[in-house]
Amino acid sequence: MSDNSKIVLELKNVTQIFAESGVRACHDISMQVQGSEILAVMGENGAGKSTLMFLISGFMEPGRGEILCRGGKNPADLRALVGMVHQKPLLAGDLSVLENIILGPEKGLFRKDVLKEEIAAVQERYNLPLDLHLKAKQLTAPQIQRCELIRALWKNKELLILDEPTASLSTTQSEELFELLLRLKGEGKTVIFISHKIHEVMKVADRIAVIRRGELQGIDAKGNLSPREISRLMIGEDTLPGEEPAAEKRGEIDRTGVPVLELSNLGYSETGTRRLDSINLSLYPGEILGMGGIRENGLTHVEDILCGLEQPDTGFILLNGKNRMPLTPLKLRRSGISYIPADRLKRGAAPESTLAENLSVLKRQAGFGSYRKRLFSWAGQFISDHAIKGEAKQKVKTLSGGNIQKMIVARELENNPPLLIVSEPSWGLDFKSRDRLHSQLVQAREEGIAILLLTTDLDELLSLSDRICVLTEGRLTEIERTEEQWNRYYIGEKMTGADRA
Amino acid sequence: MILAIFGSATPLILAALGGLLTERAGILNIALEGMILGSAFAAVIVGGMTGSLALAVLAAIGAGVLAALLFNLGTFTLKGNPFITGLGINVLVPALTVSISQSLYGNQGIIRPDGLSGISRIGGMDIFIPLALLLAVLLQIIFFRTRKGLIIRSCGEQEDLLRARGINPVSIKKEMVIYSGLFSGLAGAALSLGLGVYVPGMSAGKGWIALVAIYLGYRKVPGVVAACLLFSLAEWGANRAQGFLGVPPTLILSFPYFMTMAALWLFSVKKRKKVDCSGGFRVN
Amino acid sequence: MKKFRIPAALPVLALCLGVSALIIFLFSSAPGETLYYFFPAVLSNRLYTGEMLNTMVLLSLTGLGIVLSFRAGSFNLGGEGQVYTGAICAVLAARLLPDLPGALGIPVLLAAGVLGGALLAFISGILKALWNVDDLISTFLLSSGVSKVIDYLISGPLSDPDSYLMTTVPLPEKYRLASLMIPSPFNISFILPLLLLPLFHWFLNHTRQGYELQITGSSSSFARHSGLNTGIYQTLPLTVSGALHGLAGALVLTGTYFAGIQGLTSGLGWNGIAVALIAGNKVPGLLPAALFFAWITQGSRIAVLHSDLSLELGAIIQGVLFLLISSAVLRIKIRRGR
Repeated sequence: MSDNSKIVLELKNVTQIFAESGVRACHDISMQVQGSEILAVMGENGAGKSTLMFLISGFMEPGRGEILCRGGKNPADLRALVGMVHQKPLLAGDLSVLENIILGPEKGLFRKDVLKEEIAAVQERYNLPLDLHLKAKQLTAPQIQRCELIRALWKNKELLILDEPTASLSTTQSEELFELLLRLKGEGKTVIFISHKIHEVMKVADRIAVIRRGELQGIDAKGNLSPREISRLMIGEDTLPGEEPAAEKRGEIDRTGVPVLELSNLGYSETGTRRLDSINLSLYPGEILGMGGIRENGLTHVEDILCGLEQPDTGFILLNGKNRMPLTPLKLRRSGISYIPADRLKRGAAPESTLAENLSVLKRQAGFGSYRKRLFSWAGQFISDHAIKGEAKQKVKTLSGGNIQKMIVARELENNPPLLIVSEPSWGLDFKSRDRLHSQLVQAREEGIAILLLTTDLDELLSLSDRICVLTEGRLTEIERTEEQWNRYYIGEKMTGADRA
Repeated sequence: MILAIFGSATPLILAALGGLLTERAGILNIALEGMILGSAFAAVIVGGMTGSLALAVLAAIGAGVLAALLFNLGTFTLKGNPFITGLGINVLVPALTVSISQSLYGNQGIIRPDGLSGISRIGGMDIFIPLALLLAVLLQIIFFRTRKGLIIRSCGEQEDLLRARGINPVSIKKEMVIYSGLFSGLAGAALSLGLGVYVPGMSAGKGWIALVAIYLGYRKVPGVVAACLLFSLAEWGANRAQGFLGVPPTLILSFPYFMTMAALWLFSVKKRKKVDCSGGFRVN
Repeated sequence: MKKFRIPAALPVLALCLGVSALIIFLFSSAPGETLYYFFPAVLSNRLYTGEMLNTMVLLSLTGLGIVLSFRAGSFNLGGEGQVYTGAICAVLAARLLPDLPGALGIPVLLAAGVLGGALLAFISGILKALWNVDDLISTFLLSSGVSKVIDYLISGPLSDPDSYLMTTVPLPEKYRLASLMIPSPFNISFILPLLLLPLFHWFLNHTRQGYELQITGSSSSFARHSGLNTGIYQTLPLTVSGALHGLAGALVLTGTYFAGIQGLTSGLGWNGIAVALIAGNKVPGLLPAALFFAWITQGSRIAVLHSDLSLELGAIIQGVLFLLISSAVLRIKIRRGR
């Protein structure tokens, strides 16, 4: 390693809170980025990595704390220093590659031929072939990434940030990228790359920083961290009070009949990349099947497909043995299937409407006379029965998040559905509510309801599920009920990909 | 004949070019119609009072820019829906012209100040024609050879990209709206000064046709100019062949709307067929 | 005890009125007189008052149509065309069925108007439900296009050869709604808003479908996942909105002009939107809002005739309201997200 005494960037007590949502994206982060190194930043989705990158690249100023570079705190210096390669494609489709590269706030005319030569030289030097005349909308995801890389190198950026760079790359392409990164390091550049794939990080990074819930959990040289430790830092060691022992399940579940839900060879692609591949699962009445993973790994897509919003490219979805594709939300409701979504305020509730209205859509109050009167009196009863803290005529947006979830759960369980799809149920809930919700789910299971639990919360997965499967990079792996597999560490590593390191 | 077609296409071209600027920046300027009308009015009033071509044109531009500022106020500062803001201007302008016309001239109808006719002709040709073509060429150069042009072109497509490069897309949009006000000002002046008269409602849907021309011309300068000429030609042809073709000119007035509707429909159908990552919805 | 909330449009209106009064004082040679013509003169005789009341009736109908579409999350910008279509359908019905007795004929003409307006709006509704075509733009475009077609019909095939105006042949006497306040056009149609407004208010606020309609309007994603038939809730309200506009058009024909004159809509569609906004997007507010708007429109008309200052106050207020419509100022949120 050359010149590791030079510090290129320093963060001191950086904190960023988003006022509108109250989300604490970064909390008191202090770290140094050294010259000529490759630093990997790891963490689960929502851990705060992206916000941190916005701060480092100078597009946001930290609420508290400071970011120092080139001897000062000027964000303009940061913007000049840092070149970012984004995770999601960020090019103007109608413009050519060349035009996308040179787009910037400078003024005046430009000499096309001169710039073309300059850029071509950069491409030549780093072996990044790409036809500059292609329109950006014709590019594949790896090519788009390449375009952003070329720009960063053409602009002689000292610090490069790559956000999940291998998400759309093949193994060979990833290898090529890593070679490039090592070479850049050799030239004195600094690289920060965000990843949740431990095995990749172990290959190419010098130091690794782990962020969890907005806080820096640890930053150390690769040699000092094992994949297990990294995984543990990413997922956390919380032991929650009142966690039900996983062993206390009742007798064998009857799996001889027709499964309530069956996914057969499900596949799904998005922007040319295969997000879900060969997904097979069967769910029977009276059991909770937990599907764990990290959101980027496909859980969102599974949820969207199961609620009827997206359609898979391949495979079948069978409800009670019958192929019910294409699934739509209406079809699901007609079959009596309940859905507790992760996106509560968009899919699960109507924030501008009253509590009573939010509850009403599943329970039609038949009869004559004013629907309004019947609705509100029924709702009042329901609310007090389920101890929801709110009034029937209150607008849902004024209720606390926990109460909103309480309402949604109470509503969805009310009609004794044969199948319940529930996603991230205890996200954002306090311990008491979380416990209560878990008991409700267990109770539902006792009554014979089949439950598919999609969650990124490892503890929830373990304490509730009868069976567990893990979704990693689009593929499903079943976890066996053995000493070796049925525990936090094994499952955690499967979720983060540490086991492949 | 060619001159006549170019002459009648000129206001269209000017307005369409202004509309193209905003459209590429991501804002569809519905207020073109009102801007043209207001500018035509201002040109005639000031031209009638001062007898000066230059002042009349300046007044027209001023009216257009004023309307543009209102548009920006409603759309960006007050965060309104741009379509509705545009409609607001289209409603406001005729009302204001009527009031002003009433108090200045005592009537709400045609205004024909003396000596205004032919004021914009120099050497037998309406100066607005070469002006329009010159601006078209200029715009093309700007779009493809200047950095500003790149910025405009990407603003309508990928705002986040601009933000990532340190450019504020909202200020670009606001700027383009002002330019469209300027261009509409020229269009209005071309319209009324060429005839030397202001007729209430003389914009006659040209603002809408300009929008159709933008899409018909595939949102490119040469295409837009060609589309405007095409419309002008069609209008000329319809007037000549009224007896033969059997399609009355009044009916033709409906075509721009139906065409835009058809285009909107096709566009929406196409959009639905594409894979939509955020989850398009299907009819239950 | 119910809290009385000031409709958010009031400050805007007050401002407009204030500025207009100022303009009158500054520019009119006889400001006191002009002010008189603008406001109190409306009630000065039966003609003016009757005209104003007639306009109020019509505006409350189109305003109702707009509120209905707003509640369902749509924006019916095609009111003008729907009114026009309603009128022309009534004209056609009169031509096709000239031999009905008046008591039957008039309802038939009105029904024809309702169907015409409904059909036009229905197209936009279907386009939205099937292909997610923006209803705001499609209602506007279709309405504008159809209006031009109707203009052509009136000046061409349906034109009255005996008249020097652009109009169709006048309706036979039996198909006309008799005036209750001669010489104004105010007629028995005033019963319609008195019946329809409470009906729709009850529908929106006291029936299950009404509630579901409003939920679809405010949170379409939630509505979809709750299994509501969002297709219907997106198409039907728009269609009914068109029907109401068509009804207004047929009423204009049978009650006000008695012939299909070009331009008989005189802004009913646009003014309906203004009225809906002034009413705070609530049905009970429609009558006072319609009264207000009809009053100032009538006032402007009188002032034009008698004074030297012409102020198209109605149009100006409308324009200003449009400019402010989606802004926080009016506090009316129309959910346009998908």
